[in-house]
Amino acid sequence: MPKPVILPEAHVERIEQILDELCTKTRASYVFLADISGQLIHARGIVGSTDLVTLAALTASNMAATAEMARQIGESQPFHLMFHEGTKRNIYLSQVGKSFLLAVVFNVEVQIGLVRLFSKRATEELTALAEEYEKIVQQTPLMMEAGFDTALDEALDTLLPSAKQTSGKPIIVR
Amino acid sequence: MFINWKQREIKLKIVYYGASLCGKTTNLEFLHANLPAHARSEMVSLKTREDRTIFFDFLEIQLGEIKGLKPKFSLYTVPGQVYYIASRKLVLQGADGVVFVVDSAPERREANIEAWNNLHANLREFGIDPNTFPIIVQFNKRDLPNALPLDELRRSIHCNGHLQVEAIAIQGVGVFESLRPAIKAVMIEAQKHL
Repeated sequence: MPKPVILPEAHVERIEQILDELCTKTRASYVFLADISGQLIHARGIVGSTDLVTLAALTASNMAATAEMARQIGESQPFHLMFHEGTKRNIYLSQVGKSFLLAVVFNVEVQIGLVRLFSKRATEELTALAEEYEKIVQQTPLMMEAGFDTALDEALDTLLPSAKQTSGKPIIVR
Repeated sequence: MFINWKQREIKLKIVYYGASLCGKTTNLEFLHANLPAHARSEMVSLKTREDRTIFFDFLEIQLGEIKGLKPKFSLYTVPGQVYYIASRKLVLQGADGVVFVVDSAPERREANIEAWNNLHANLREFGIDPNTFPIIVQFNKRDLPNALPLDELRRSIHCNGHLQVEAIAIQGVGVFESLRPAIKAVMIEAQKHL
């Protein structure tokens, strides 16, 4: 299994501060942090009806694809930022360390220079936090409560009942 | 795996892997159509004009709150066609478990083997041992009149040791039954790492 990403409460609060500051200073619509596997970590700003879970998955895949493009053209490192320009809205993506990405979604009226400047600062702060986080992960306590497995089974029985079969019974073999 | 202490969220990634046209997208489409809206996201499909997966399909499933935790599962498919082979590896990045979909059609035997070997090679490149990694093997299209016998399919990809499920994904048979052990397996692995 790949290395888990486990965020302690104190780190979430610090991430919120960094994202809030970035969102305010750039006058962005919203900003979010995701990990490279596509999991949304945190978002700040006015998201509206945007499906951030999906957007995080798409941006992470986008970053992964461009990292491969960088490799194909002989770059030794992945591209560390990407900018997509639209007619109403733009999106600016920065790599944060090796495991995370930062996205800023902003209206076309906002100056790209502002986004570039404050994204760079936020990325540096988040990278430092990510390095600190690596040390904390080792000390993280167990958090599953007793009875979790039974409760999980019950939830799966409800959501994924075998009654959904339309014909025949699938054979499960080990 | 991603865990947010403050929001008590645990997020895990399950990737549907396999040869082209084996039924990976069909699995996700069935889940999307048959799970209640509150338990799943909208499905995103990045397809070519010919309706083939170019990058991935994506669907998130939520189980609600379980003992104070909120587990969520991101389901992805990889593109099956060999010329999108680089994309498969990108989608596999960060996966906590795999549902490997096997096409039971005799003419797809070699394609199954290629995809299985490719999965193993990619996992190893990520430093993961495929023999201990959660992989559920789904033998799909069992309704084909000329479907290969299970033993032959098993022998062709050497999948003993992994949990196996028979399916007719287009009818929904075996879809929930494949996802369920995949969720269990990734949760068990997750607990080992907490």
